[in-house]
Amino acid sequence: MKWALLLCVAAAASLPVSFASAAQSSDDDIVILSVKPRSPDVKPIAAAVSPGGQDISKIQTAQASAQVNRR
Amino acid sequence: MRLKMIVLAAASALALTPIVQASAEESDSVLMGSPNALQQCSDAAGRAVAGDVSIRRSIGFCDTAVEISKYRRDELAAAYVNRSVLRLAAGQYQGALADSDAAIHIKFILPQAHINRGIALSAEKRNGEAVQAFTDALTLNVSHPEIVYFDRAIAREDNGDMKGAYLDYRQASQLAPTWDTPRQQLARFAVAHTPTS
Repeated sequence: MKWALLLCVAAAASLPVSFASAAQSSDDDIVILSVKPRSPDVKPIAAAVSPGGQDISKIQTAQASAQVNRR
Repeated sequence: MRLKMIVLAAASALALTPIVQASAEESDSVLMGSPNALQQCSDAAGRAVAGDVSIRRSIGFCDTAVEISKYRRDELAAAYVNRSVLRLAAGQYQGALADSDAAIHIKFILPQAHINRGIALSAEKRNGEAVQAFTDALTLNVSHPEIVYFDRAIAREDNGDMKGAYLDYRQASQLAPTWDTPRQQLARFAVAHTPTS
């Protein structure tokens, strides 16, 4: 009886730990199996500024790409 | 009297001719030397980011922008940042790195300088330092963090950190859902989820 009670207490105590692990492990659990080569067309994007120092970089989104392709 | 006037007119015409020709020939340099060089340098860098620029001419604008901004720190830092963009586009990676370092020296909190520094380092195969430069940019008030995560993903991938690259491409994609390039990069990765013990 005493042993059963101890087991129940131990199980209850371990529950929150298990839940916490599950919540935090999403990125830790990721394993990269393989990676296909990157196209040489994919290059980093530099950042330009206005004379006052404001960022004027723009990214070409899917919408912008479509506009370019239509021209 | 009439002859004297004709002679004077002819002399004036002859004297004017070289000036007119010189003006036409030097129109570019006059333009380069204008106070607008700061704006032209910035505009050119913006076009370079979009992949559309006449590199040789535009670097001249930024040379002038650096020269005329000597005593205005913010404008000087901006000119260095923009010249680094054009130098990156021209494949002048050492020059781009020097310009980025100069901008950081003047104004450390300019995230764009760290971004361009990271790209220059990456081009020089110094990917570990490049990753750190992008991480530095992310600690500052960066306008487009999705671009920095994307750039860092490339550096991490080139450095052999595939999981780090995957997480950065994913972060870029989440921050800019309509930007298709990070999403396309994620598709290259075969990923599994294994429960931790």
